[in-house]
Amino acid sequence: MTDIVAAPPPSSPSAGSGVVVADALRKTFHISRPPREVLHGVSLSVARGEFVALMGPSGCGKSTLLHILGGLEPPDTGTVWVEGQDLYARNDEALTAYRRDHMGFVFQLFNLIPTLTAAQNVALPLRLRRPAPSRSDIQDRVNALMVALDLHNMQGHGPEEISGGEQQRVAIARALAAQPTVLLADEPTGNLDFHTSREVMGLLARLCREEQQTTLLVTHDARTAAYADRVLVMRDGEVVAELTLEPEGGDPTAPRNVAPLITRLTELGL
Amino acid sequence: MGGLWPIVFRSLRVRPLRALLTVIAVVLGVAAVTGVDLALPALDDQARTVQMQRAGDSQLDVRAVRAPGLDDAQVARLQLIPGVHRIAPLLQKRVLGRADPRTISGLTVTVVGVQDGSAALRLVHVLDGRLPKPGSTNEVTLDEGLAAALQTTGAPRALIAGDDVRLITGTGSDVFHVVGISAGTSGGTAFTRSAAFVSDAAMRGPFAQGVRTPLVALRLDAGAGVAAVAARVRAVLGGDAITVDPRAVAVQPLEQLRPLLVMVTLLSVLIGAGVVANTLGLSVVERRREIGLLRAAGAGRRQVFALFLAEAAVLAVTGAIAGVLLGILVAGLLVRQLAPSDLAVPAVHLDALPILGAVALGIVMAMAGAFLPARAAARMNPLAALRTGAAGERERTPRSVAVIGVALLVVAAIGLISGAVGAVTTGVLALLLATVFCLPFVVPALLRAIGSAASAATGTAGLAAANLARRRNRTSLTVAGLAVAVSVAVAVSTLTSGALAAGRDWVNHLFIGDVLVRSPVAQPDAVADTVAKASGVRSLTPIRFVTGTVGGQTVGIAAIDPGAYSGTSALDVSGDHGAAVRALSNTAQPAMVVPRQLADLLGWNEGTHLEIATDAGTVGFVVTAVAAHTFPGGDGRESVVVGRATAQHTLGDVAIGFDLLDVSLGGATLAALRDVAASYGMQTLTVATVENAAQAAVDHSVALLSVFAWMAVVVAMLAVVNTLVVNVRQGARDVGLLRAVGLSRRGAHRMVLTEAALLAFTGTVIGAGVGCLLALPLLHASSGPGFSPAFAFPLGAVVASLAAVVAGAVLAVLVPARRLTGQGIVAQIRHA
Repeated sequence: MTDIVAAPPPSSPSAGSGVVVADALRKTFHISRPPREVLHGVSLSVARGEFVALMGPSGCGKSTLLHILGGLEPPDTGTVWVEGQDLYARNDEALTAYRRDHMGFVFQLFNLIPTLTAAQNVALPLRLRRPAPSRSDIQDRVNALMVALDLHNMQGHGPEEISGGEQQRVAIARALAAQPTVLLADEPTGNLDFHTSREVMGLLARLCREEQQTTLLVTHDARTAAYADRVLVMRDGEVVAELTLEPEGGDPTAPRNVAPLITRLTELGL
Repeated sequence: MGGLWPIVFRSLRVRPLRALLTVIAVVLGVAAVTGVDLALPALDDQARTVQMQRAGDSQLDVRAVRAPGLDDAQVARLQLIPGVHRIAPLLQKRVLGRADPRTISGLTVTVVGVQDGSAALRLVHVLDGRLPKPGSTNEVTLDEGLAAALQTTGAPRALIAGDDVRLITGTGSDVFHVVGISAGTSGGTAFTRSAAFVSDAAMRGPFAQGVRTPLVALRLDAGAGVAAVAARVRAVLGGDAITVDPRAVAVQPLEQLRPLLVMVTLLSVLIGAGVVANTLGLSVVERRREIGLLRAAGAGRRQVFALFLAEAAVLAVTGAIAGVLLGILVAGLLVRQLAPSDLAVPAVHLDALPILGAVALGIVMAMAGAFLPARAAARMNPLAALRTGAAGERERTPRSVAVIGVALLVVAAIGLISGAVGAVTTGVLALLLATVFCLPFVVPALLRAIGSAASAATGTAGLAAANLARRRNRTSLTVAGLAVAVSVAVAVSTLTSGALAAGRDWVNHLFIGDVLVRSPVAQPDAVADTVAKASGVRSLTPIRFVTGTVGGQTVGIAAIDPGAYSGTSALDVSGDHGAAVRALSNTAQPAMVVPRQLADLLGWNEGTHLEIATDAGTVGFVVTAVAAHTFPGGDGRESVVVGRATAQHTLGDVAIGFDLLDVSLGGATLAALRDVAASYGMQTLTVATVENAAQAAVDHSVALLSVFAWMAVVVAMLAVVNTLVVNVRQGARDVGLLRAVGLSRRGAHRMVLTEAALLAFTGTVIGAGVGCLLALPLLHASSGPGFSPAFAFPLGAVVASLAAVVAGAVLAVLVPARRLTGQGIVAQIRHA
């Protein structure tokens, strides 16, 4: 039985309380008139090895929050600490290097560089390192990931030659190549069918539970969110609820019971 | 279609820069065609007018083959030939002239009889005074060069109207009153060079003894055919004379360059079509979703096809009209640049036909370029268009393209190997088209190889190369346009440098010394002795130029002092230089050196026996050697070379004296020599000046080709800019992803610039290679008798084009690249 433990929005966390900590994040986009504030002082903390899902209606700011936590887009105000260090205190070059070495990203669509093969895509973060690891080290790591993600037959294939699910698996392999501190996935199953979605989410859950891979996931779908340990529910730029999903059974790749989650979300008007 | 016009104009408005680039491509193509179309007829008209002026009133020239000319009986027979209305014999006699009777030395003067103000139906141009009155026997009009030179015979200055001059007649040294100064005849300065014009009565009176008739000009009856009368003349005079139609334009201006000019012009049009294809092709890719939505909303294939053609038509009409206006300007500049400097600049006639033709060509060019992209848009599956990301597809090339490419290569090989000018031109075009068709199969591999090699210098070169390789058709089309344009520019540059080197080589092997002293009339040898004593002169050798009939051909004869050429590099003969010089010195066995030009043209070889017509009959000469080049013969061909002593021995007085002194100064200043030369009415010029003049003449001729070739490069660069800018736009998402996984902003910027540099580098390198391949047969085809420019790798042109094209491409993407990398990563990733 999955327990839904509702909690109030997290109060201002400190830098040492989690591997990813955000404090009072605010972000306004000026592309519309009047400018639209999409985050109103969001704070959160994610523990090492934790699988956290961000949910909420379209435009609530969950993707923006994920991008800020991943070092892709700076907040207007507020702080993000990753492993106790202020992420945005770095200059652009240092932030790029940190992102390359400590963050892994999986996006919803066109996740792969179309000019590179599956193996080249996976090797990319390693090749971009300065100094770059040796060719053999890169090859060993790529081979290991391709085998682990059941992609070993697709090393030479281009992105357009493999299915959507396989593309997402390659994207996950690439995100894991540098053994990141945090894996950030922005609706990674948004474009996939049910079976492929389950396959991808199972993979992420296994990595989290077996490899202690800290994972942050953005999704609309409660069935996808049900793979997480904790769900942060957002609305209008704020975290309005925090739901903890207790595991059931021994299968680490299986989702929690989704029904209570849906019920709770319904109660929240989502 | 009516409902789609707003879309046409909106599409053009939202991409103004691209529309402008396309219009510029059409403008340049149409301007090139219009410019050449209007300039060449103007130059032809000018050449025809000059030819008519030179012909004067003569419709047929009868030229004597033998030195004494035609006798009175032969001239009289000409008058009786059916179809001949009037005959005008050119009466000439060489006599000694001097200004002061007390002066011992005199100048050899050619006395020419004038009838009705003309010599052999060519008007005499009088600068000052008048011509001798008909019937007068003591009046003379002097050529201005002769009037200047005669001051060396006792006059305090150049002779003017009102002075007296003494000419040797049948009765001795008679005084002639100078009544005018002339500047040759309408036949040109060479027709009666340095002449003293007297009346017909004087020629038949005081000068009657020894008068020659080298030419008789004929006016024909109305309706009489030139060819028919010429045939009758030859029948009457047999081998004693040849006939020449003086009004036939033998050589069109820029004749040798015309095929190349047409080719380069056509290439500008082809490249323009390529730019249109490139632009619309990119537009189709960018507007996939729009096309999908249009189709989903009910637009048919034909409507989509018409939409893209309509866009092209708007740009084509705009570009064609602007191109014609620019072309008229270009034509004006061309005729100003290319018309001989001694003639008035010809007027450019704005004939409707070439202008309308250029407009039509521009529109056809644009529509042809638009056809394939428009068809691709029309054939697009609406669902696929809506579903697929613009940047996500890997382009493929149909195999038929490879088949066509290989077939064109075969045609090119056959054409280029054949050597005939027409076949070579076809071969050149086939090779250029083959390049276009074969590149999609070569460029991706080449790019990856270059990218791999360059990745040591910049880590993102491999990614940049892969980006270009993925869009193989677009990249190949762009590279092809650039390569074709660069290849033509490189080939033209190779031709130019080959011609310049050949010209330089000619001048360097012609003269012994470093300064030339040129006289308008033959000077006595005593003058050479005086010049030799001028301060700074180390040595000099005189050269006398005469015209003679050698082996039945009227050619220039240069009489040189063979001894002066021993141990020098001058007189570049094919065999033993020493033996040739010794043979020229031997008066007992007359020998001559002939230029390769005449040898090839007339079938003369070492050992050939040739007869030279002299006053005493004919003298047998043997060709002792063939020289790469000799002195200009005054008739556009090179002269045969004989020894001075032999010439004087066989040709008589006519070979005495000199026209040119080849002087070695050895670094001394020119001033003293110039002063001495000027005192004899002679002009001093350095060999370097002659070399520069020869180079300037080559530059003058090929400048037009170079301008069009580089114009084609500019047009091709428009496509490069177009492609790169679209690549940058479409690559936004890829850049975002790369930055998300760790590529720095600077690295992304460098990647975009590397992509531009790679594209430009590849196109230029391929172009340089193809250009060198093209240059070989073109050099061969442009070789003529005695003119064989050699191939030399045009390093300067290649480096310059590489630097210019790569810098141009990098500069073109600098702003889009900065704009792209300045965007946030999320914005880049969200880019559709």
